[in-house]
This record gives sequence, C-alpha cells and structure tokens, in this order.
Amino acid sequence: MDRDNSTGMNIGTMPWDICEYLVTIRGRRLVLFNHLMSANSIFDRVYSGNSLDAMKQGYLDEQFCQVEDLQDEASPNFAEEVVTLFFKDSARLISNVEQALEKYPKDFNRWDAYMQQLKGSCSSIGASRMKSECMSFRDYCAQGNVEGCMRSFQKVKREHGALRQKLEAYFQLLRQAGPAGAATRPGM
Amino acid sequence: MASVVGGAAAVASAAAAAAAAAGGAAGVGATPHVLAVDDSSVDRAIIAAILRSSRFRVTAVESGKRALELLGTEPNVSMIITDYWMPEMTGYELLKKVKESSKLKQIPVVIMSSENVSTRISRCLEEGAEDFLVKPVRASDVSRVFSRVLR
Repeated sequence: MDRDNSTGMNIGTMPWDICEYLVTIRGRRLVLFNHLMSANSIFDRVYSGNSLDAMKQGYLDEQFCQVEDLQDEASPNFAEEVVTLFFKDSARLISNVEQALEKYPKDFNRWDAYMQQLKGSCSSIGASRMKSECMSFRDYCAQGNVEGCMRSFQKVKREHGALRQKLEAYFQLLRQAGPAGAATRPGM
Repeated sequence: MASVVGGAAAVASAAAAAAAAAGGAAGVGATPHVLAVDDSSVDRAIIAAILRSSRFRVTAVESGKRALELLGTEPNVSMIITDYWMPEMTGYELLKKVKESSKLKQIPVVIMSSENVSTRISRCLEEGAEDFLVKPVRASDVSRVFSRVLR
C-alpha cells in the first residue's frame, strides 16, 4: 500500500495518535514533511531538530514551505491546489518532451526548451529531486548526449511518479488528521 | 478629441483616467492593483497568493497580449510583475511596450526569471524595470520590492 521504501514505514497504517502528536510539533506539519523529505527515520529527524538537513536529501525543499505558508483562512487548501496545478502542468510537459524525443531526433534545443519549463514548475513548488533530474537532462542536451538524455528522462518520469505518490499520501494524511494540524499552527 | 463616438469616448476617458492614476498617487487608502503576468499556471497561482497576502488586489494573466488588453481598459494598475520567458511576447518585450506607451510608462514593472543572467538583468533594468527577481519568488522578495516601489 503506502509503504515508503526508505523508512519502511507504512504511512497508511500509522497510528493516528502518533500522527496527531507529530503534526503538532512546533505548530507545523514538521514530521509529515520530514517523511517526504528524509531518507531516514522520522523520529531521528524530529529529535535532531534539524529539518533543513532533511529537506536537502528529500523530495521537497524549502520552497514547498513557502507555498504552504501562503495558506490562510481564505485559501485553506492552497498548497494542495497548487500541487494539483503542478501535476496537471507537469503531465503535459512530460508528454511534450516524450513526443519531442521521438519526433525530433537530436533536436537538443527543442528538448531543452521543453525541459526548461518543467524544471521551472518543479522549482516553484520545491520539488527538488525532480528538479535535479530535469537539470541533468538539460546538461545532457548541452553535451549533445542522446543516450544521456534518454536515461535522465526516464529518471525524471520516475521522480515525477514518486513525488505524486508522496504528495497524494501527504494530503490525504492531512485531511484525516483533521483540524488538529491547522489549529496548532501559530499565527504567521 | 472633440468628436465623440461611443467606443472612442470610452477609450479616451479610460486613457485619461489611466494617465491621472499613473501620474498621481494611487489614491490614499486605495488598495494597489497589481497585474501579474506568467504563462505558468503554477507560478500565477503562487505570485497571486503572495500579492494577496500582502493585501494587494491582483489580476493574473497568462500572456503579454492579455496584459496589454487589460492595461488598455483598466485605469488603475499600480504595478506590473511579469515573467521573462513567455511564448509569443517575452516579459522584456512587454516591458518595452509599457515604457514606450505614454499612458502606461509610469507604471512600475518588475521582471521575474528562473535564470540569473546578468546581461538579461541589466538589459531589463536599462529598459526601465524597477527590479528583477529570480524564481522561485518568495514572499519576502516581493514585499521588499513592492514596499520600496509603491512607497
């Protein structure tokens, strides 16, 4: 089900009292975040108190915090709405790249132009791992390396799929945790 | 401007209002109206939310063409913030059109770009841009620039 290979934790069956406790630490959804961001145990991250370190290794970076910080009473689901827009956009952009790889062999400029758009979107929501793979692809384009482009494009698609899973599970968890998450956020 | 025929009158009065608004103060107590231009729906959503959280009124459009249409009809735009790379008309081209227009040139323009290219930045500033923000844009960047420009 929702088993995270890196932590071995099945977030689908995580005890809800632990979830709620973890959600309220420092008034932010810190641990749910860390789950997405960290390759190591959630508890290590919580007690180390260093979430920035986790972000650097993980799926999302500080920019995602920026997006979440824009949530308020008027737009309580803002982050999820932006993520939805992202996946709609990214699916289209990935498809553009895919078609270009097929229809326009060795057209590195075109391939790069499409990937630049995708990289921009990743950057806007803080999708750091996916953004890295986009940057690799662009490097291969600059080198004129077709095989490198093909390989890194597969990685882009894999990261895209993994990110979608993580974020879907994250928002579902937030919905199920209910108002506890929102109520404990200090006014920012 | 003596002859008045329906649409011409509307355009003339909108232009006069725009000139007055652009030339004078935005209006004591009036909420500044910002026009955001970006072809990415994700970025539009984010920049609009950042601006609203700073209490600006926002209209977000997806192209330079739409921006110019809106500027033609909306008299009270206090600021334009635009992405650089857009299909059909870049942010730089939009900036130039705004600065070349007698009724729009007073409106401050801020450019956003995911690429930190110094020649691009200086070109935009030379053309009259107020500032150049590197994406991803943060709320703190926006409030810093806007509070300076709209003081």
